[in-house]
Amino acid sequence: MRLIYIVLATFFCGSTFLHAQQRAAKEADEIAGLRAIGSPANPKVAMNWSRYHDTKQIAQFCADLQKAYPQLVKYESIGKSYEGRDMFVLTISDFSKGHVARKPGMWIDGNIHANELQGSEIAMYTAWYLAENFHSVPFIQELLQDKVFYIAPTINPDSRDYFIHEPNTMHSSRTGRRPFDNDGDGAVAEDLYDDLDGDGHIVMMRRKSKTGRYKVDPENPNRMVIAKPGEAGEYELLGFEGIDNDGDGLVNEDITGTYDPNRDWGWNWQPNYVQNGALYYPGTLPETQAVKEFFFSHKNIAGAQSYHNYGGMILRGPGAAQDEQYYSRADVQVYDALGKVGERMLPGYNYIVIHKDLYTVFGGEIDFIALARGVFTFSNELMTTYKLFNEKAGQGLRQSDEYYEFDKLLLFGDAYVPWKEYDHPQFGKIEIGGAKKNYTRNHPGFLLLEDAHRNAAFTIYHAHHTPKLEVLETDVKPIGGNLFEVNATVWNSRIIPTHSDHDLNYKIERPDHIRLEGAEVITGLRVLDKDFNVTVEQRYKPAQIEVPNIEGMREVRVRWIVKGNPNKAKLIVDSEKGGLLEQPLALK
Amino acid sequence: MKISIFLFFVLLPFAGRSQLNYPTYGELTEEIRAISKHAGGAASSIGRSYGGEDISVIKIQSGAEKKPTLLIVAGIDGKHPAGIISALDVAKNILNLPQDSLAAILSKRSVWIVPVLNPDAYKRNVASNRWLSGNARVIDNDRDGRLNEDPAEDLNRDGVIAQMRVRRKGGKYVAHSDHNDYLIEADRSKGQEGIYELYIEGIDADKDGLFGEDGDGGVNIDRNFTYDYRPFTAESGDYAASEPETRALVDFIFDHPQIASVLHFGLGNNLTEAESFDARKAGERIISSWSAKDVDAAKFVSSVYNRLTANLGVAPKSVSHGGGFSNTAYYHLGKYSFVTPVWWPAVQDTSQIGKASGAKNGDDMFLQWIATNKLKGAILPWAKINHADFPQHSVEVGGVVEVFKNNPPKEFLQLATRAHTDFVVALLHNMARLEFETPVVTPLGDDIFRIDIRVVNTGVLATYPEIADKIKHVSKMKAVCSLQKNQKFLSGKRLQLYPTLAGGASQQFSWLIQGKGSVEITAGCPTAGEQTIKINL
Repeated sequence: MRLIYIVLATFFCGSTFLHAQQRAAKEADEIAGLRAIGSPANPKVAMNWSRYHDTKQIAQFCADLQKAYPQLVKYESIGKSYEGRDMFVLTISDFSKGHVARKPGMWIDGNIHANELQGSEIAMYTAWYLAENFHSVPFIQELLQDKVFYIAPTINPDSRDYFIHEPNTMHSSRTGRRPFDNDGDGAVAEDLYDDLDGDGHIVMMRRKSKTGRYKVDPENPNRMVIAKPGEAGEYELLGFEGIDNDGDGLVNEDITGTYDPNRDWGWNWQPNYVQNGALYYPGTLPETQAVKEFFFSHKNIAGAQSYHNYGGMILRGPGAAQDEQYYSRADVQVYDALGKVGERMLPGYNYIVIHKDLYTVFGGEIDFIALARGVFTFSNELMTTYKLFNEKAGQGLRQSDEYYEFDKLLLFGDAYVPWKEYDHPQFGKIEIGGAKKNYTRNHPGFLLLEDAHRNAAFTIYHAHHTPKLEVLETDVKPIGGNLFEVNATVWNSRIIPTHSDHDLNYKIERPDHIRLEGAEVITGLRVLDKDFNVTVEQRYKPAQIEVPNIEGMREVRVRWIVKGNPNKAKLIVDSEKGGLLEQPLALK
Repeated sequence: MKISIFLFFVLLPFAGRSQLNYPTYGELTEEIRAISKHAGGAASSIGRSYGGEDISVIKIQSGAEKKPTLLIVAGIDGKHPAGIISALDVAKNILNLPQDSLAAILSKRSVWIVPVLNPDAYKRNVASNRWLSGNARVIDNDRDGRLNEDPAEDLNRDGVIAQMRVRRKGGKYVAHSDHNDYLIEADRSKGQEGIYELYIEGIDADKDGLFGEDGDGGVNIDRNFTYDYRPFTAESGDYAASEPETRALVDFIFDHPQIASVLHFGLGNNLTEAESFDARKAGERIISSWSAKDVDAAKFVSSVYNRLTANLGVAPKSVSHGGGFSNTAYYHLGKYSFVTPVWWPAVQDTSQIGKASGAKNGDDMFLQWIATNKLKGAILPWAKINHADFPQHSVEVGGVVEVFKNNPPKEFLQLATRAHTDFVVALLHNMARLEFETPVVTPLGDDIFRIDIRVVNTGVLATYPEIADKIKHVSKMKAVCSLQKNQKFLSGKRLQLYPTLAGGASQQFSWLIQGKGSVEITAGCPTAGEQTIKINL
């Protein structure tokens, strides 16, 4: 019964799919001029990838892409945020081929820190690129036949809208929108930033002062530099735009949510005196709970990427030194194989380890994905000063003058609010000015498209190397009486194993199953060494051999002794992260 | 389905009784309701279990005013139903105190009781008479990808899961010399040779060499809390605080900042022997020792505890398993946190204890207690059965029924719950309490006023343990002074936070204010009492 449906569905989808392909080819022809390589000539969903989208626009994009490519795209809400916004996940796969929920999966999310906008655009670009190029690029066709992408453009939608629509600095709104009393006075969020000049950007305050240690950079009036030792300064800096709203002598000390959603995950979670930004327990926030539940209900996820900014890094775990014990040499080799290629694909990005090369993180998302779920996970820190002039910067974000120079030469002053006078109720006569909230951490428009493609390509490479299991050979031979020996070899033609070493050590995922159906199995064996006949007998349910792992680029062999000629038998390979494969036991 | 539910309810009163004489789940919830009613309120709930059961809280308090509160929690690990019965007994005992002493206690403090944090466990266990730790989540205990494929089985159909011994060369166990039905490990260092293999009653359904390793029983909530959570260990859950019961209790404690201390009736003990101070562990980034001052408080509480429970015999020492509630309550929630099993096997005549070679002291006490009380059903005589996994060997079912080690029949609990009621009353009496002196206003002329307020902690314990000062979301000692529009501070701020105030210590708040009119000062902390004072300048 079910088989008939599958056959019918495959046939039906196949035929409409053919139509769609012809139509796409035809439309492409109708475009005047010449298609640029790597980009769809006439995308069905017209997008401007040189801008940032709020959550309404993201929802619209999801709906449009699904409508344009119903056989490739399905989107769903996996839960609600604290303020009740939907958390959308796009499922991208060739729905006409195989059982999508059993294909090796690649998870991509962005924007967990809401001021780090571009993760969403890059995640959306990936979905868009896959759908729009499916008909013209055979590699993508094969990819979506084998794999499924789960793409969550933003997993912090409340705060994304807050960052976009309300006054913020480039660093604020890293958090979510659940209010907490941050200063212990029993009142919640009572001393916010104040957009004194009402331009939507929270910039810096400075005041003329004889003892101030700052002066204006003669090269660039937007820039404040520290006076040299022995040299008098002209200004003191008073922090970000704001007033003391609650009269406690502090400015902007109780802004909303000073927690960090990326410290709310279920691996090596620590309280906030150990790990600043943590809340009550891992999963205090509905947003992180929803993603965790998605991971537990999608055990096929075999690779993951969580986008952040800033700094040009391809990060892998662990977040804390004491978790180094969970990264075996073999697992690190897998990370290295992928990460080093990433460095090539993403000029200016360095492949590094969080706790060694960045800082210690307890209770972070990628540790949860990598260590609680055993998934090979990267987190790219998007945007780097390298991209400004395509060369390595000498200094860090705060000392560098490259941003000012880049603004002057390529953006023509668009990136800064020029200093202007303001009468402040507590500080008196001051000036306000500085970098706009969408500068420095987030890409300028014309750099966004390029980095979106490079990062999308890296996740596609990552997804491509999730396990692909293939039956390499089978053979059946009579061994006397009415008994037959069946041998099967299954191999994984990609880099990522079905189980990481860490997974094997802690039995995170069940073993892979290689099953013989439709034969009377007397016993079953794992063949560890074919040439010297080293085998392990499996006594419990021998028709379904349990294989602990199928390593990247390696094969496993199994053997059954069966009664009667198994010419009607089927061979099934069933792996949570490696997919489901079913084929008749071909007879020689 | 409907029929099975029907049968379940009809059979429950019969199936639910073991020799423990513990109430059925229905009787238990009814009793909680009755106690809540007696306490003057409706039973309220802190959330729902994984299986959808209400998690009740009984609030013994007078009036709606928030007062420093002691929270008693029981029934976290399903293997300890005695804690549940004890918590309800203590609640009843408190409510039955003489009216005036109860009124005196409740005028200053409140007692809240969550008697069954893990109702799924009690509901399942009491019906099946098999006492397992976890909630109703179906988990893969042996992580082999199959769910509950190898449960323990009642092979001899006597209604309980006991032990199974197989007489076989290479076995590690021998019979206890004084208690024949109890097996202990052979002492090879003394040349003793084992003759039995010992298993839980069951078969090896999945042929992995383990017996009854993957049956019912979900996540043990007392392994699922955040402090020292141990991933991938038995019954600890998919990650810390993965279970609704865990989250409900932590949320409840954060949402009610007046909770000053927690007392856990469970499988642990930091009262007989107080927490100790380890300077190195207390100084690391991840703190794993109570602070010196908090240890002083713990020592005082232990001295009170040992005095009031002296007639209960020697309590067993506890082993920490990680992910437990009691440690989490101190290290992550910032509460004075105490835990006791309430009851433990104890006998007056200890001359026989520890004589048999190989038996651990605790085991001997347990065996002696059973013998003294002639208790039936705790250690069963061995009975031969046929077992498919051991066709060539003699297999017998019998031995110890695990639940009795920590849970006696109901009637044995009374002495212990009376002593623990006394302890709860003493603990309440010693909790922090802030008392405010009348504020002193000194006019300095020209509408300038100095306000001084002195507050004293008249309790023995500090307003909250020192560790709470590190935890952002715990309410701190503070003073908030609200001015009129025409007034301003010449010295002092609207809001000032202070560290915890030790028992017997005092704190001075003062402000210099310019401008006439009334000011409103709120000071204190929820765990020791807050007061709002209006002053006219």
